[in-house]
Amino acid sequence: MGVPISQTNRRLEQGLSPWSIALTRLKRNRMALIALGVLIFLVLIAIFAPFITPYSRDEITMENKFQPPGNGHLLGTDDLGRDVFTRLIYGSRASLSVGLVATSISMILGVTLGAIAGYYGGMADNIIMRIVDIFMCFPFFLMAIVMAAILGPSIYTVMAVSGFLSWPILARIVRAEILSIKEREFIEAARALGLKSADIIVSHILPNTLAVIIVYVTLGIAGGILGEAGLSYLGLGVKQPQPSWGNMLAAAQSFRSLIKHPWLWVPPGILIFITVLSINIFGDGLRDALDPKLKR
Amino acid sequence: MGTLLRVRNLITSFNTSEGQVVAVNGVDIDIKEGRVLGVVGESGCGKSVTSLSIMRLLPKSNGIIAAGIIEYNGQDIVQLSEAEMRNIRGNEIAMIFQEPMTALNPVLPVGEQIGEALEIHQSLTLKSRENRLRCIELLKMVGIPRAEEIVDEYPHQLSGGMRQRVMIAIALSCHPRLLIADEPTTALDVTIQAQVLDLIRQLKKQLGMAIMFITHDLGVIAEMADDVIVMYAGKIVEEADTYTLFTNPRHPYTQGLLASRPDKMKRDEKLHCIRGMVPSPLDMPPGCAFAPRCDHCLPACYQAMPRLKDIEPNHRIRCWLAEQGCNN
Amino acid sequence: MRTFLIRRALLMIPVVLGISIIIFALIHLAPGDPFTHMIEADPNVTTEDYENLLRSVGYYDPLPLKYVKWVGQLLRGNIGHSISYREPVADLIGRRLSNTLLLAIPALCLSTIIAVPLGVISATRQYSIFDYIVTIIAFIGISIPAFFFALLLVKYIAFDLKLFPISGLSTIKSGFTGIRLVFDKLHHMALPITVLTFVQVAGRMRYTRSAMLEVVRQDYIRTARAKGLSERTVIYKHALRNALIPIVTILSVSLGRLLSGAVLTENVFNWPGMGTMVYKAIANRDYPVVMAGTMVLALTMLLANILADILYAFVDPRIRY
Repeated sequence: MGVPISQTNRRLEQGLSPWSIALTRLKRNRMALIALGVLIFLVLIAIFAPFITPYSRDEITMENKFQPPGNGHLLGTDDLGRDVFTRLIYGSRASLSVGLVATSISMILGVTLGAIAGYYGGMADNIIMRIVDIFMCFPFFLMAIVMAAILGPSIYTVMAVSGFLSWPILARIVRAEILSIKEREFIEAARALGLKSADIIVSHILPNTLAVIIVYVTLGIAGGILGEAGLSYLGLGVKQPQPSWGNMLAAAQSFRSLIKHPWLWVPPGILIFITVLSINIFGDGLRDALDPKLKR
Repeated sequence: MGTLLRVRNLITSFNTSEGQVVAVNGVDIDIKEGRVLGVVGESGCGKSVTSLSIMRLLPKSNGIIAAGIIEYNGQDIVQLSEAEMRNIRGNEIAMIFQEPMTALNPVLPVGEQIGEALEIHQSLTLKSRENRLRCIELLKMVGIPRAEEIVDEYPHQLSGGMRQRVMIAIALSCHPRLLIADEPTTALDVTIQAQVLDLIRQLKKQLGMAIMFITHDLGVIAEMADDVIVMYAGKIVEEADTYTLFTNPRHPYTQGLLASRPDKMKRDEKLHCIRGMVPSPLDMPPGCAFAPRCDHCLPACYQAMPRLKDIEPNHRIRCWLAEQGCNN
Repeated sequence: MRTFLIRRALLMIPVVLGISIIIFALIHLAPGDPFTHMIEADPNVTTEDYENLLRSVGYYDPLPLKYVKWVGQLLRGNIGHSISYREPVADLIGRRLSNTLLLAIPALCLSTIIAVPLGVISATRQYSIFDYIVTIIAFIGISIPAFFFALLLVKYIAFDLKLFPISGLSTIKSGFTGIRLVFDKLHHMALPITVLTFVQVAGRMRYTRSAMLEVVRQDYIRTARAKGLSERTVIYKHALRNALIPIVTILSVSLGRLLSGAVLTENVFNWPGMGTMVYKAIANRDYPVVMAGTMVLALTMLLANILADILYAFVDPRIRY
């Protein structure tokens, strides 16, 4: 016998699938919707980059270098006279794709290993969890630097390194979820019906952990973008002439540009900030919407 | 004997995203000094919300006492300031909750949790010797062995029954005149249940406080209460002294409740049950809320809610059958 | 408690071994060797000298042998000799670690002092304007790249407004002594600490808020109110004491992360800490420093995790190992 609101809500929400409940809840969260709008806008910009700007991405005009904003260049020009606004738009392609690919890698590794550890337990669990322990002890960014230095700077390095270093957290979450779900009756029932383990994992257990995975993956994209920014800033990430928000920020590595040409590094920084902020707000909204314990 | 608690037309509602939910809708309660009032009903009928309203402990974010008066000792406590109310809580009116496993703070020793109440209401400083001695005395009073050691132990070191005894010690620490017991034995094993009920009864005799005893278990009511009210969907449907209620229940709902007790069954007989479900407070049927589930339903039942009507001295029911004088 | 510690220590062994193997393998996958820069820089070094140098540091040994040698050295307390700094790595790390702690510990304390009360107030006034503002600030703190924030501070606060020094540990060749020296150092620490604190406050505040919201829902909070306790006692004694259990626990993990997580911030402020040390060592292919540095940081992280478990047992009376 608790507070009656929870009971009435439960009654109202009966009959709806968990996904449509989540959708209704998400629609009520204005902040999350705005954040989603911003993200869609950014993706569209990345896709339609060539149609938005009159300049070409890598066009060098040395006589035009370090032009402040204005005068036909919305955000000025860089050390090679390239249009900063144009590179910023194209840069979103690199940054967003790093976020997506890195998260996909970490998701595949994390979900697979977490599911195996959680479902089979025993030796497999022990080995996987010790590997997770080892990875959790690594100083994330320093290891990324070491690996990037070994593999050599490139956009693929960044994707691989971010993805490879961030799966353990997801593996832990998936394992914990599966451990709790495994004990419930409907899994017993599936086993009693003679389903194979792999079938049980894929068609009965994973759908139930999907909410957690979706939230984590959303927030993980933000992590990937931040990772790209950091590595590229240090010159270990996306290589010139391809622009990314991170390697545009690297302009600030030169003290002269840091002080005198803020239009080179402030806009990419702000874009990273806005993107990550939107992802975090949207991810938080998703978490609230998908949380079955939260009835509001 | 004087009336200790007098509730009139209490309406308590909750603001939810789906709209306003009225959980308690016009409840009148009288509790006399030293008497035990039993409150029965199914989950969600508003009995716990009634007790939380009396304590003014509704969830702050969305629970409100929308109307009515709650007179304690001649004073309307709905109008009291929060500070004045705190003086009453734990001191004049105390409460025991259902879940002994979660109702005690896990990081504080039991002694401190009892001592706190003594500190605020009886000015016994928490760390003082008197406070500690009083805590031990209270633990002994509720029948806890090794009280001198238990006083320093944490709740997780005690069994459920022991914890509920500690809860009772906390509630009785300042000699309240009214004790509200909200399903105090529901979460306990049957043998422990009996012990705790015995304890409450014995302490009542010893200390003489009035008790509002909330339960869904009619057996417990029969053992504990002097008077009974039966609640359904936020309203009182029948009110009588315990003997009358059990021997001559008049409201179809009460009759249904009594008939569905398994201990009244003969072997091989089918278990009686009230058909249907409690309606959602967001979706109340017009007229009598029990009508859709009632076996004696009249056309009038779907039109309007009947009044709570005296059918004999100290026996009231809220039913069109009584209104129209045709007794079943 | 003792058996718990022993068990925990035993469980550490495979993890430590794993960490060392991975670090070792990574470094030896790296192309180039520590002396490439030397021949490029100094035309007098002959190929023969170069070969001898490589042989003397065991460059041609088979990998497993190298690993065993390295671990043997580590166990004897010899964690190597820096090639570019020309001094024992232990001395170098000792100095750098204390510089890093100089930022990390104040940042940890400050952020906790700021974040916990804000989180508590935010939770007790859920959905109030205060809660919204605090939540928005927290989102900003979580989302802004720390080094970008640091760059903004350097440009606009330190350079344009001339309020703080731009970089470094202290003013070079200032000859400050005594209290002046302390102030000079604090002056240099201010901006990096601001960055680390801001970033930490955001996360910890969110954490405190959700821990409090979870606790405030519990039955024992209602019991405390039913006793007639004041709202202050209910929140700050009954609720906060419970919420602090997870908060205290993650503090040690946060410290472990701060030690290695500040690479970029250290880089922006040119702060000679652990992060910059490892980063520069990678650039210079100074492998002994890279290996020892990452190893030390990974071990600190491991110890921080264990400390978290011990703290947990310490603050939660329900847990007795």
